[in-house]
Amino acid sequence: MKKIDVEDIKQRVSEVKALFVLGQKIMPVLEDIFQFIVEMHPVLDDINSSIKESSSKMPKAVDKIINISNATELATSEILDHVDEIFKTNEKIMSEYKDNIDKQTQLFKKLILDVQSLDKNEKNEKKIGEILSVSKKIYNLTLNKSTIEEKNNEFEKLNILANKILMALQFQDITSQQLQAANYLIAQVQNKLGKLLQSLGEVEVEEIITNPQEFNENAQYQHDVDKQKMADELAEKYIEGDISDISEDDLSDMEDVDDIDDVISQLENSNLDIGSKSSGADEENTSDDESENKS
Amino acid sequence: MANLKFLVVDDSITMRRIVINTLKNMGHQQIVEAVDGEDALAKLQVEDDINFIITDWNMPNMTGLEFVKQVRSDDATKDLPILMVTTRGMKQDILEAMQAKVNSYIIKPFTPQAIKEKIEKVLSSI
Repeated sequence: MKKIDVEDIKQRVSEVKALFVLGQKIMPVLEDIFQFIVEMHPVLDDINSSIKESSSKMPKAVDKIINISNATELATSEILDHVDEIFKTNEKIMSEYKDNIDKQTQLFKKLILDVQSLDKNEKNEKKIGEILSVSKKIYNLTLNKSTIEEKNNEFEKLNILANKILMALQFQDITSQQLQAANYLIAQVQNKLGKLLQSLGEVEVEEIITNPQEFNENAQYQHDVDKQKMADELAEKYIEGDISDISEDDLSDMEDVDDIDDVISQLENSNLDIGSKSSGADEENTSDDESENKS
Repeated sequence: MANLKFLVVDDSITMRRIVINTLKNMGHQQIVEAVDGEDALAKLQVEDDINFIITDWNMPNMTGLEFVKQVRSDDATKDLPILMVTTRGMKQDILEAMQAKVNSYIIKPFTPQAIKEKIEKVLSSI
């Protein structure tokens, strides 16, 4: 007869008892979890429906943004046509004005000569005086230097204003890039949602292909003279090979110190010739590097 | 300077018209257009008397930066003066463009006077 190990049995009973105690403690937690899942189910259904709905609306949002961009391009093109007309018309009027002035000047000269060649008797002298007086008034109205200069300034002003309209129309290119950036973000969200839905086996969602190289997400319509000045100074320093003067302060808008160190290292190691005929051998070496990089 | 032939590269028809209009107001009549870097390279093959390139940066198919690098790597075109006209105004961008060997850099929006000065400065330096 097998000897019964009472201690072993006691141990096993204690373990089972402990299990039951643990089970009793866990059960309420498990019940709460099950209850939570049951309550979440309709919420998850709602989220799923929202995702599907949003996902279906995003291509429409992308299309609307593209339509806005196309509409502004069309309107801008029409304005450019009108500005071209203004330039042409202004040039035509200027040219005609100049011709008229030349002709008037010739006619005046002839008039003065003719008047001066008249017999100066008592009868004619008064008439000659009147003719010369009227001629002088006409001259002052149309042919004197300051009048002509004033007219030329007005023509020039028209040109300047037309140019200002032209320059302001650059907004179209800049806002178009901003819209492309927004489209890119929508496309990214759309593509991620699409993958999520596909992984849930819900729908097939076509990926929107976008190319971030086609736009500058930081494009801004800003008349920032300082920005251009900064660009000019930086370019000048690079061309002169004055790398040591490019301080960390100059590069402060870069993302982190590692980027700055990389750029400075690259600059220090690069050949410093810029598309000019002055450097011969260096250009050969640089073009060899570029060919290597291209391949 | 009046006999220069320009290649204007920009995917935006608005910007091409603005640059071309500015050049015409400066007295330049010989102007070729391209819509991106690839198109510009093709135009350079066909129009072998181009003296000056004005290019945007962000474009489809081939960016302006890549186009500049291609131009500089070709013996036939490596010495052509290049002015980059772009919305990109970060210092990193400017340095990248200078490293690609553009001659000068303008940030959009620009004034006609700015472009005129840059062209004159580039021409006087080569």
